[in-house]
Amino acid sequence: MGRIVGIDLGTTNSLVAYVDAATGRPKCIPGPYGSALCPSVVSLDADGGVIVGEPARRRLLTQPERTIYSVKRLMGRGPADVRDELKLFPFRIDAASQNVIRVRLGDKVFTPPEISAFILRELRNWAEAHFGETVDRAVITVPAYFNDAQRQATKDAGRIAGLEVLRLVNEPTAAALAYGLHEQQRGKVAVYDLGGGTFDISVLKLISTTEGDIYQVLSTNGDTHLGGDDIDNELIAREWTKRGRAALAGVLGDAERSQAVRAAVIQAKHALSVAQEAMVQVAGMGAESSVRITRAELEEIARPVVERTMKPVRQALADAQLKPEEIEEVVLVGGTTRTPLVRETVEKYFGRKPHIELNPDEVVALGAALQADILSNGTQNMLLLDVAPLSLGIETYGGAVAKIIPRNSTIPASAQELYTTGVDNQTGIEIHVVQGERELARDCRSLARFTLGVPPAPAGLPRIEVKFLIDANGILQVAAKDVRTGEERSIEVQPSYGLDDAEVERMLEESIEYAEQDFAERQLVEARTEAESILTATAKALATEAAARISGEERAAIGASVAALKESAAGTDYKLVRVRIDELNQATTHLAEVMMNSAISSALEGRNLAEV
Amino acid sequence: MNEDTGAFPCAVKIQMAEPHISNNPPLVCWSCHERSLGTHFCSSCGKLVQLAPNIDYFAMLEMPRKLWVEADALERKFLQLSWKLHPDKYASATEQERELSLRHSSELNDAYRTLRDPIARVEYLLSLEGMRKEGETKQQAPAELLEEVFELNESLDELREARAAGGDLAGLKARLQDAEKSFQGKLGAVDAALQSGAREWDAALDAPGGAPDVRKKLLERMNELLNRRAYLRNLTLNVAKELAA
Amino acid sequence: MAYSEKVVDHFNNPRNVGSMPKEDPNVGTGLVGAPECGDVMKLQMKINPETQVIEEAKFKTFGCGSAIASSSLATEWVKGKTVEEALAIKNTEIVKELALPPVKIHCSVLAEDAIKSAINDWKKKKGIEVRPEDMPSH
Repeated sequence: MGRIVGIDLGTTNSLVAYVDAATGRPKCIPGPYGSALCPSVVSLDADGGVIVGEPARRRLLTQPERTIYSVKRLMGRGPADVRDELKLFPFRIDAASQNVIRVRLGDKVFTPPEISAFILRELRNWAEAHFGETVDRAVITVPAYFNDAQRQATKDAGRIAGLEVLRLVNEPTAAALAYGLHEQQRGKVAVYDLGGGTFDISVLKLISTTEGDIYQVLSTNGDTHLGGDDIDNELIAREWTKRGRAALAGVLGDAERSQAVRAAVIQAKHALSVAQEAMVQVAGMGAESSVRITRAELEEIARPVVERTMKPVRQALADAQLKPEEIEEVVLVGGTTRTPLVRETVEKYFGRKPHIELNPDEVVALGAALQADILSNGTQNMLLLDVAPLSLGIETYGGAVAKIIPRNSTIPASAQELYTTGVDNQTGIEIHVVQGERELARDCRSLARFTLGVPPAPAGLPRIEVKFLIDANGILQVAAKDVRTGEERSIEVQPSYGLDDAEVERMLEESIEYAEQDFAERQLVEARTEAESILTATAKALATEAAARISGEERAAIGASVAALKESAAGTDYKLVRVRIDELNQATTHLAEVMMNSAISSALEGRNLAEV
Repeated sequence: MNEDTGAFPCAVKIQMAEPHISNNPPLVCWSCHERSLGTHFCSSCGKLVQLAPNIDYFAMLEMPRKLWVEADALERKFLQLSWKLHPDKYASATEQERELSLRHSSELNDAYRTLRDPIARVEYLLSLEGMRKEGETKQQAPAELLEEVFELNESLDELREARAAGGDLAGLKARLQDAEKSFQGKLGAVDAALQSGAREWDAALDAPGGAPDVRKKLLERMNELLNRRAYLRNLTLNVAKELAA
Repeated sequence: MAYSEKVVDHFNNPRNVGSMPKEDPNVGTGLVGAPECGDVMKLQMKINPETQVIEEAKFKTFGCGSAIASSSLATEWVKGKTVEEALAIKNTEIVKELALPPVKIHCSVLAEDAIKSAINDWKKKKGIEVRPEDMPSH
């Protein structure tokens, strides 16, 4: 088995981290561009190649219709859920989307888990390059307030990327884990996590026991559609108003223009975290057309977003039966908490300075790495007890919901329900499982509908016990048992929003094809590069004085090998290129020796090797 | 357990069909094939055992069926068992052990969630002792309580209608506030009575022979108290909701 | 869960909701409750003293859907029946008519008790002896 890593699959950026065995501390793995942040952007190039991360982010400006960002917002959701939101995003949803959203990139169509899988695969490549060995298992973080469908979609993404997802960890909990190790914190901690697209608040109790430290989540709350993106969208709207539609329309095409404006406002927003004012300068327009924005203006726009985070904060504290002043430490996580207004608001509410020591972009990935280490028996003195963020319920009379597992129950958690029939010889009992806090099923999130098969019998006689279990990932499992016969029944739970197993399998196969294709392309590029350097070296060698000492026969053989390699490098078979490289290497072995000897004698004549 | 079910207070309750059999024959350990006596771990090889089919929450937390429980001690026990049973501790174990750990720890969490709440604890004990079985034992309510409940519900309705009609609410609101105060006071009295019932129950358990007659009476008394409490709680919640609207 | 259309119909459009003057010598009032879930049900009937036929029935129930449906059905059934016929109504018939699942059977028990208790109230007003078997018995 290969290595286990921790992955923060973020709305804006994703990261991969591991625990360094020597120090026992978690570390983020940098990518090819030196940064540990992999922009969560995926782009499809004209010949079907997949581009992920920084190069994809750049393509947002040049190839917006082939590029997607913030795909996390679409995970585990149905087309109807995101209709309003999509007005703000340039994504094109395929018309055939029913329960699962399908996004069109160029001429291809992907589901959100498939797009997320491209990001996961990229991070996996980073990790494999870093370790020089296979990485096939991962702990992936999710917003604490993610519902069952969103969690399932994340797990599917992992599977499609060829990763065994050992655990889904809630982001604020992961952050607490990283902070706990860093600061040796104890007592009651609130983690405020405001990212690009999601907001979470978790209240934890850190307890030292003789065996080790227990991180017990007391309550969690949040909003899976609230984050920095919302501020960006307001800022974009402001630009359109300030500049006027016509001014922008003249400069760029539709999709490009919206991306250029988006990039410009984000840059200005980041600048305002430290400066009091900044200029919004849209790429492709002259510097003279920049629009000034002050921090006060940004805060006016950000305030409603920050205000919206406070209701979940109050609810989480109420559920934990704590007052703000009873919280001993406050931790800020997520890029959006760099906004001074967020820091001020949180500080004022809790009456204490929040912790910002750890990089808010990295802390979740570091925690995920720690959890990965716990699961691989590396770290043994820590235990995480997390909770289910939403109540699990069953639809009853008149569409009302009977809650069977209340929110903030420590997971794994379970509930049994006993069912029987209402009419004679009824052969099925229909069950509708929902998640949420509302009283009516239609206001909650539909998780699954299924029919319990019942052997024909008089009404009220059958006794079917259904066990609902929320596992340590926060994902629902259902099992049923006939109480009278003791016979176990497997239940085919068809998720209301999401992929079924067969679809995930198919996507996994396709993604392996993609991966193979990617792998082949990369190999070809590398082989061509190597071919080029050996061809250059050979040409150079043949031009030296020393080359005059080899036979015409030998020269002809080298010439043939050169021609063969050039021909193979023009093709697409990287294996053939490798064979031809080896052949040319063989053919030039003697030439190399002759040159070496000549170089040595030259050196003896007082010339150095570099000059040869 | 004590979840607010709002406008539809008649929630589906978790009620297992048969009263459990507490003296199961000792199970044979799946791993070492010896007879095992432990609740969670095999007494001879130390591996996680198959949970006894109808194990109750008290047994899950390795405690007697007593009602007076020290919150700190219960939490310590819960954390100590969590440390041993949580799926994280079995991530690289065999599939069977992973499955067992999931069963044990989910049951443990369910047990702790129920038993740490004093009211849910009494309710659970009563159902274990066969006092509260859905659809079979009808709970009685004293007539004057029913009158009171009905009248208060009617004033709630009146307030709703008056609000819908846009009328003057001051009088009704004052009535509601009085009612809220009165019902909260009654709720406090019920809780105090339940507490003393809990202490008496524990004392009876400790008495020589377990004082079965005393316990039976106590169960009946606590059952009545819980019934009264259910009404009062629903009413206070509804009144509060109406006042907040 | 699939519910019989009758439950849903009685729940959404309950029949005979309302009340009659308690003091009316011809009106019997039954007030019963299911404390486990906080339900309370009031059922009233106006009975012709000559014929002992139930001429009018009203109810008001604070509680869940099945309790409302059970009492709504009960008022429909007792109308036009004699007192003796009404006393013969069993909760199991309500369960069957509404296809109530086991967890909701107590709602039908409540309705049966409400019928008995209303008739007994009327009998008391009329000085008629209440037979022990007609007491709410569950």
